[in-house]
Amino acid sequence: MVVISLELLTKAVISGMVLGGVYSLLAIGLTLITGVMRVMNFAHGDLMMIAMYVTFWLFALFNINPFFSMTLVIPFLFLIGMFIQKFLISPVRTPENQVLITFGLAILLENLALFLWSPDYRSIITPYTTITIHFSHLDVGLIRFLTLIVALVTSFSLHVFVTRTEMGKCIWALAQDPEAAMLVGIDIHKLRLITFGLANALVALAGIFLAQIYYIFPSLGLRFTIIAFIVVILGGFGSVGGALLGSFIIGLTEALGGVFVGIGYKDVMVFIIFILILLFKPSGLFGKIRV
Amino acid sequence: MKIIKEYITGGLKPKSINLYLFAAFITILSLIPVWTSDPTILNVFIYTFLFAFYAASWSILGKYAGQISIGHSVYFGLGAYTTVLLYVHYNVSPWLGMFVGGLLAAMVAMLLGLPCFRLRGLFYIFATLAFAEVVRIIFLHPLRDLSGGAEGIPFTIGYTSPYYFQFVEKWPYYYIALTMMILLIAGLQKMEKSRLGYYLKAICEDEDAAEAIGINVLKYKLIAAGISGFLTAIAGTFYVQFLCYIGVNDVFGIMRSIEPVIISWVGGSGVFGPILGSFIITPITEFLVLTLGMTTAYGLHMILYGAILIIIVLFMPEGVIKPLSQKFYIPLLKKLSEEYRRV
Repeated sequence: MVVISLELLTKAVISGMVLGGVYSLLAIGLTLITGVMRVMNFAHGDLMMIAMYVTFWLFALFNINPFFSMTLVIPFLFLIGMFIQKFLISPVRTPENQVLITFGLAILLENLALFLWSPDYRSIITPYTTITIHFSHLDVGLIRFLTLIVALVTSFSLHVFVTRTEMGKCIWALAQDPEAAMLVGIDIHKLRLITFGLANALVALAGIFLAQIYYIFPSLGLRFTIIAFIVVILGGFGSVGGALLGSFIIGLTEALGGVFVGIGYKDVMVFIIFILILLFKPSGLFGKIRV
Repeated sequence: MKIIKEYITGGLKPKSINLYLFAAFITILSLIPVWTSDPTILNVFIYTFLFAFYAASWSILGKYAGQISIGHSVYFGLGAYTTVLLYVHYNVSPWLGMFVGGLLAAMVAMLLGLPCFRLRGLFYIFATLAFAEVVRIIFLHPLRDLSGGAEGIPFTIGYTSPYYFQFVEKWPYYYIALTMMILLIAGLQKMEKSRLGYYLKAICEDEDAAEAIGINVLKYKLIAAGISGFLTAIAGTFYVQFLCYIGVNDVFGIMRSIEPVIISWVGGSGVFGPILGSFIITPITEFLVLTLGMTTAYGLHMILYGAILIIIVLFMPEGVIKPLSQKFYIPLLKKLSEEYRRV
C-alpha cells in the first residue's frame, strides 16, 4: 500500500489540472466540430500528434522555439482542417461514412508518422524546461503552469467568441439547427470550413504545449481522441463550458486514479466514468444539442 | 449452355447461376492444396478465408443491423484468450475452448450492447472503440500475469494433433478455414431470408420505423451482437491456433478492429461483400508483408488501409461488389444470352 502524503496528493491534483487544461483545448475543438458538423472526428488526436511533430522538427532542425513556431503551426493546422472539411467530410453524405473517413485519416496519419519518423519517443528540451515556480512549498513547472493558464484563457475567449460575436452566434445557430440557419441566410459551407479550421487551431495549441511537457510518439493520437470524446460526451455536445468542466473532471480522475488505484488502472477509471454517463445521462452535463 | 438457355426461358433464375458459379469457385479453392503445397501460397489463402469469415461475422452487426462497431477486437481476443488459457492451464481441447470463448464473447457483446444500443450512430461507434481500447489496456497491464502482456504466450506443441487443434502442415488449416467460410456463407444466406434477417434489414434502414411496426429493436440488435461476437471469437481462436502464439496487442490491437470494417466496406453489403473484400484486401496485405518484411510492412500496410478506407468511402461508398456486379456480372449474363439467341 502506498502511503499517500499531502504532498503527493497536491502534486496529483496539479498534474490533473494540467492534463485537464490540455484536454480542454482538444475537447473544445471537438465539441465545436461535433456540435456544428454532427461529425465525430476520429483523427482529432492524430492531428494533434502531427502538430507536435511539426513543433518538434521546427525545434530540432531550425532551432525555432515552440512559442515562436506557434505562429506557423496554428495556421498550418487551420488550413489542414479546412482541407479535411472541404475534400473529405463534405463530399460524403451519411454520418457513418463521414466517421469512417475520419477514422481512415487517423490510421493514415498515425502510420505515416510511424513510417517516416519511427516509433521512438522524442521530447523537446528548451532552456526553460526545468524552470519551476514556487507556491509556498509547492514546485510547479513553468510550462505546466503556462499550459493551464493558456487553456483557461483560450476557453474563456472561445466562450466569449461563441456567445458574443456575430460569427460565433452564427456558428451556434448552425449547431442548434442547420436548416433554420440556412433559411436565415447563414453561409453554412463557409462556416463549417471555419469551424473545422478553428477546431484544428485549438488542436495545434494543445499540441504545442503538450509537446513540451510530454513525449512525442506516433501512436499517442488515439488515446487523446478517446479522452477528448469522453470529455465531450461528459460535458454535452456543443457546450464549451461543459467541455472545460469535463476536461478537469477527467484530468483529475486520471491523476488521482493513478495515485490511489494504480497507474495501470487510470484509463479504466476514466472508462468507468464514461459508462456511467452513458447509462445515466447520455446527453452529458450541459448537453443542449441533440445529435 | 443449358444453364443460360434455362435462364432465358425463365426456368433458371440468376440465383441458380450464382449457385453453380459458387460451387465451381469452391471446387477450385478446395483443389488448391492438391496442386501446391507451397506454404506461402497456402498461408495467403488461409488468411484470406479467415478474414473473410471474420469480416462476415462482423457484418452481421455492422452491415445487416447497421451498428458499425470498431471494437470487435474485444470478441476476437476474448475467444482467442479463453481457448488458449483453458488449453495452457487446464489442458482443455481448443475445439471445446472455442465454444466457451464464443459464448463468453457473445455474453460480453450483449452486455455491452445493453447500454450502447441506446446510442445512435456516432455514439455507438465511439463507445465500441473506447471499450476495445480499455479491454486492451486491462489485458496489457492489470491482467499481465494471465495474458503474458505484450510479449504474449507461445504455446506450440510441435506435432500434429487434431485433438489440440495443432498441425505441422498447412493443409489441415486450409480446409478448416475454407469449411468455416463456406458454412458461414451458407448460414448467412439462410439468415438473410429468415425473420431475423428481415428484421435486421428493417432496423438498419430506419430504426424508428422498425420500432413503429412492432419490431423489438433492442432485442434484435442484441441477438445480432451475440451471433456476431460468437463467430468473431471463433475466428480469433482459429487465428491463434494457426499462429501458435497469442499476444495482447496482436489480438486486442486496434488493427484487429479495423480489419473487418475495411474488408466489409471494400467488399460491400450482402453475403458476398465481405468475402470479396477479403479476397481483395488480404492478399495485398500478405504481399506487402512478404516483400517488405514485417516491421516496415506493418506501418506501410496500415497507411494503405487508411488510404483505401478513405478512397472507398469517398468514391465507392457501396463497396466494390455493387459496381462490379452492375458493370460486369449482369452485362456478362446479358451478353451470353444474346449470343445464345444468335446461335
